[in-house]
Amino acid sequence: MAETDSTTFIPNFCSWGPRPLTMDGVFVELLQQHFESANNIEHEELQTRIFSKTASLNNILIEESTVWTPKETQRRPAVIVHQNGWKCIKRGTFDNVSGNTEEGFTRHTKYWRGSHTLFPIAKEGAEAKILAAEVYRYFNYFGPKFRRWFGLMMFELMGVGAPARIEEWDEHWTLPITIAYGWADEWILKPDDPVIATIRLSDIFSIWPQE
Amino acid sequence: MPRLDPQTPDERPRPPKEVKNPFVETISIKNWAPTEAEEARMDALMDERLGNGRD
Repeated sequence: MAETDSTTFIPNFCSWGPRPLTMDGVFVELLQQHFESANNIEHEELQTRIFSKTASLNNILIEESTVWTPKETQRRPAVIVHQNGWKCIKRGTFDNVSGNTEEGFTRHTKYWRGSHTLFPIAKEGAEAKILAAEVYRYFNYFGPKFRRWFGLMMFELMGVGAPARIEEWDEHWTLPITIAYGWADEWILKPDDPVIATIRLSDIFSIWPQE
Repeated sequence: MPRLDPQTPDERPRPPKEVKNPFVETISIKNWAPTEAEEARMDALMDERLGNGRD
């Protein structure tokens, strides 16, 4: 079974939590680490296609969709990581569901839900199916671990699409794999003005004219 | 003597029509996005994690 080293990219991820580019990085890094050793790869057919940063035409290509050059995937398999739209979910008035801090600053929380689709691509339908199986099994089994690592509320494999030829690139096959994730974005607002610590009623009454 | 072609143009043999594999689907990855049903499933899962329905 696969071994994945979390120490290389988690500190960077954790500082601000999920952002579009960091989530791209999560999927690309996890896949690259999985495919960089034949020991991790379950399917024998893919064990000769291990990932290498100095890729040759035999190695699997793992890239984010905006930087992918289809020409580089003419004969070798690839997994292209593509971000879908994200939704924010409002809870509570002014997103203030967590009350105030001891200093009087307001705590806020907004929930988010997003997804990425991974496109395993190969020239033959059978190879695309094998590649898809390698990818979805990896995320299915390690999903609970990844959810904890990245402090997410949800990390779920949603499904695997039917095998299909790519319309823009008729010679190649893919089976889209969608993974959904959700998290809480929390922040504290500190007002510029000094916060009134206490209000004494006696001070207010003392400035009123006495009858 | 001119040779008469007994066949009208419509009766002439035509080249065999190419039959595409009907099982082969195509998808466009250019504008790919999850379907509304998939989005609804993701929303339902997130609601489940949040404990109840939305505001």
